[in-house]
Amino acid sequence: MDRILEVKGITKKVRGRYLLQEVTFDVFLGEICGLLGPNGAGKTTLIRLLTGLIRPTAGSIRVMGADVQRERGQALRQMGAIVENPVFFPYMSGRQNLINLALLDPHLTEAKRQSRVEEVLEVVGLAGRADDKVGTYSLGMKQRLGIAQALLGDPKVIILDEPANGLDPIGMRQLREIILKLNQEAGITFLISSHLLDEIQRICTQLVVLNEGKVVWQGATKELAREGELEEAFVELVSR
Amino acid sequence: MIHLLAAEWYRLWKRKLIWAMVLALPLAAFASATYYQGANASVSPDLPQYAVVGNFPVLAIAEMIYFFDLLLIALVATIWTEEIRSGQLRMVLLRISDFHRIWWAKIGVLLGTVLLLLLLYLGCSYVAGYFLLPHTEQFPLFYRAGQVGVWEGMWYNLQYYGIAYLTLVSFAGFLILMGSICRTVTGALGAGMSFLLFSFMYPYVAGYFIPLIGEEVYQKIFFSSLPMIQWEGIVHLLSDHSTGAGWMVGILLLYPLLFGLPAMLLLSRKDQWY
Repeated sequence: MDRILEVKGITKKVRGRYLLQEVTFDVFLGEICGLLGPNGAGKTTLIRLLTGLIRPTAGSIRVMGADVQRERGQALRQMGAIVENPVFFPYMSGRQNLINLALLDPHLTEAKRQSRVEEVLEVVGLAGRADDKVGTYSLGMKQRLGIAQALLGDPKVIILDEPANGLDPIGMRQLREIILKLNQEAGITFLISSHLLDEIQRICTQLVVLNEGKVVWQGATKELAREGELEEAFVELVSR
Repeated sequence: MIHLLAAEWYRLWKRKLIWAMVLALPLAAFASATYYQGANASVSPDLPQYAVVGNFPVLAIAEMIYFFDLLLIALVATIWTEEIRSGQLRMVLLRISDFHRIWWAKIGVLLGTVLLLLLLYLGCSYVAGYFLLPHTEQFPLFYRAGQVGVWEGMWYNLQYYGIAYLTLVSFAGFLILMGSICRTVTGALGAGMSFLLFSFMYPYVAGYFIPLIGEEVYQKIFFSSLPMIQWEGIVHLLSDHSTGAGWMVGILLLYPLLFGLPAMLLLSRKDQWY
């Protein structure tokens, strides 16, 4: 199986405190991998490291073989991401926000840029509201626009940080459908961090459980959630 | 890099703030020309203060340079502080391989925009002067013997605007550091305004100590203040007998080096985004 994401011995120490310690796991092509953990487990720190926004104290991260620190450009080309909540420029419309981000892609010509923006707007179901200012969007629409921007560069893997946070049931359902569709039809691999067990159980095939900066469990979702009791298994893991 | 510049430029010009600035400039030029039209009644046409088409751009910018200081403060607070602190920049950072580039792109867009606004104001002041002020073939300039013609006057005006631009570039050095450090837009605006206020005040305070420090030291203190260079320094630099040129050029270079370099290091540090 093709290894898309390779996280090896990642440690992050800030002001003498370990936020992550020796985190090691792999994500393979076509998987939807859930990064599960209670608040403060280090999920967002790990995602910032995965996207190269911060440097690890030790260890390495590779995206399709490219080191995120040393071959950042190459690694980023394979990746789309939403880190924390999707913050857009509120004075621009959804379409203008996407055009602005697409301008940063040197591989897109003017014509391709326009068509790619329209394409991703269609995928996330925002074509009808694309000319409205992002400031008027609901959280669910911002999340979908976040996925649209992640799709712009035609990535192999998309990393989402707590995408279901604050969404109403309809927003969660729409988001879930988009993720599953992209995974099944476009073959995009996902790494999704969350503390919402139900959501994770519904879409993720693999799980990495973090607690206090360490990986406490990894494997197939069904292995952890025997007979549908993911919550109990999770609580047991993080209470050890 | 060109893509990053294009994206920064695209974003800036989607803001209402920048269009408000653009629209304010012709209004300001016409308001200033109207004021000078009235003021000319009590000024001799032999004096450089007497406004005609040829010298009006300099008289107009001398009045308005502090407005440009305020524009610069507002631009830095929005381009730097707002984008960094709100997390808006994160999606941009996820697409660039070297964080230094974002710094240079922002500098390029900021300084390019200020230059454009300054040139627009120069053009507007010629137009306003053409419609509202006397047309003379010769006119006097500050601290210069004799009179100049239209073309020589235009060259003087361009030099004046060029130096005014350099003072704004120098001020931008300080503002960029503040814009990178401050946690809120209000903080960045406050830091910029406080700097201006302080720079206005300390030369006046130093004036009380002339008997102690002497005229030469006082002049150096006076022209270490950017607003004072803008107010009096530029005409001194362009006078027949320019004094203190080296000092003022040194000050103009000092601000970007002293404040701009730490700002670049701060913004390009990866864990800044932690």
